[in-house]
Amino acid sequence: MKPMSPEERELDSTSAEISARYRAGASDEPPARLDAAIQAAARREVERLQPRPNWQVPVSLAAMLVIGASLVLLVRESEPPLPSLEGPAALQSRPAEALPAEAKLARPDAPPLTMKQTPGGRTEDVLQTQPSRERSSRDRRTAGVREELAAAPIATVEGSAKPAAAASAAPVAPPAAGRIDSIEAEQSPLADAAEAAARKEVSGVDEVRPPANSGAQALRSEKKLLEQRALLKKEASAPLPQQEWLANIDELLRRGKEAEARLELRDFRQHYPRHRLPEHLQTLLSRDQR
Amino acid sequence: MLAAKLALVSAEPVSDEQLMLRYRDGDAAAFDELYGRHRGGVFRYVLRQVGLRSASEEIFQEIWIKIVSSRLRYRVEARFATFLYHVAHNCVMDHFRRKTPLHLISLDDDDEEAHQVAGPERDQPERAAALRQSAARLLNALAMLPTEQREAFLLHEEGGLTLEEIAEVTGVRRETVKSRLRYALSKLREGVEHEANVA
Repeated sequence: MKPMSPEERELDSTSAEISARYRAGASDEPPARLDAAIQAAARREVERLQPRPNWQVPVSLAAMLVIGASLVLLVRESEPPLPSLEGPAALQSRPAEALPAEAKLARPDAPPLTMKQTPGGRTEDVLQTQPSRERSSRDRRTAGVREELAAAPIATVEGSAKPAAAASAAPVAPPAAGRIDSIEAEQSPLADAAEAAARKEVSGVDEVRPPANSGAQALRSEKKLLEQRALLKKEASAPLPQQEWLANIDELLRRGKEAEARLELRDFRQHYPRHRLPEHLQTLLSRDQR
Repeated sequence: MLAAKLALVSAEPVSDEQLMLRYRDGDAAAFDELYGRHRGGVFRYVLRQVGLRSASEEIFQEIWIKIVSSRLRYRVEARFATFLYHVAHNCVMDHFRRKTPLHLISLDDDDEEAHQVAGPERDQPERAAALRQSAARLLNALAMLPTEQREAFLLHEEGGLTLEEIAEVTGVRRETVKSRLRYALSKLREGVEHEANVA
């Protein structure tokens, strides 16, 4: 209780007698039945609002977890495995002996790795790692371009055109170039040898071997090559620009390779179904469809 | 030493506010303790104001049911007694708004309620009778007081409220309460003396 003020104390002293008399007769109390009723009501109120064990929340959480997990498993099972971009590159970088039998069998289908070297000594590395469904058309396209390049007087010499025998002499060449050469040699040694021979015939320029470098230079160039390869991986997965593609088809037609031009055209149509074709190509396509 | 201190601490009575907080948090026993402390005072406060026992019981029950149902909203903003008598004041005022009977307590010994007023000192019949008569006179004088003065006296006597607390409960200024209380005491003294002289 709060301390009394002087006024209250004065009031208290004057009322002491009255207060004593009042208290003498102030024995009225509520009946016991009323006490019992009120206390029972108070207990009921407490019990009514007592938190009951709530089982719904944990049960619903558990159900959600089970359903979620089973959905994830179902989706994983039904989904076909995505083609890995790293797969072919990883396969290429491993020596042939270390590869399993299936991988060895799959090697001819692996995307070719081509290293171009300009007369100025600049090295370009082209790695094609598009998904398997695009691979055949891409191969056809690149074959066409290769032929075209072989036919024209070229300013570049392909380092990848070395025969398989040259690859065995890799220790002389820088490690990066040696590795790429060996990969290329593993992939298609005969085709590349033929191509190199044809190129040599056409251009009259002998293969230019990269000069032997020191170890540090070799490491740098290998790093650069890896970076370029990563960049080209991205580029390779995209289809050719429409105009360039059509120009290639025209070039094939001009050179009398109609069958290849048709294949390319069909492929082009699949990639760009809404592109308006020139009349002569439309005719070719409709003839092809018939 | 520490044990003694702890014993002292544990021997300290729990305040009304703590009991109400415990009840709010689900301790029904705390309510029983709280109710035991205030049941008599509140009942008499209502009985002296209303006069009729049956009506007083109804109002008394209503007061405590309101306390029980407001337990979750309870915050310690003032003494629990202030809160309790505020509720009691409102219930009594509601009752007066409905009807305003004022029941005077009879001095007749045969009256049942007069018997209920007198309680202690049963061992000494003459003294007990004198006290009973004195208390009855005081209660009659109390019943004759204006409602505001009677209420101020009862809140002071039964609730133990200070002038400020009475002012808060009744919604008037502190000076008004003081004045009402002075008048009430003065009239009660006069009334008791007058009845004693008449007797």
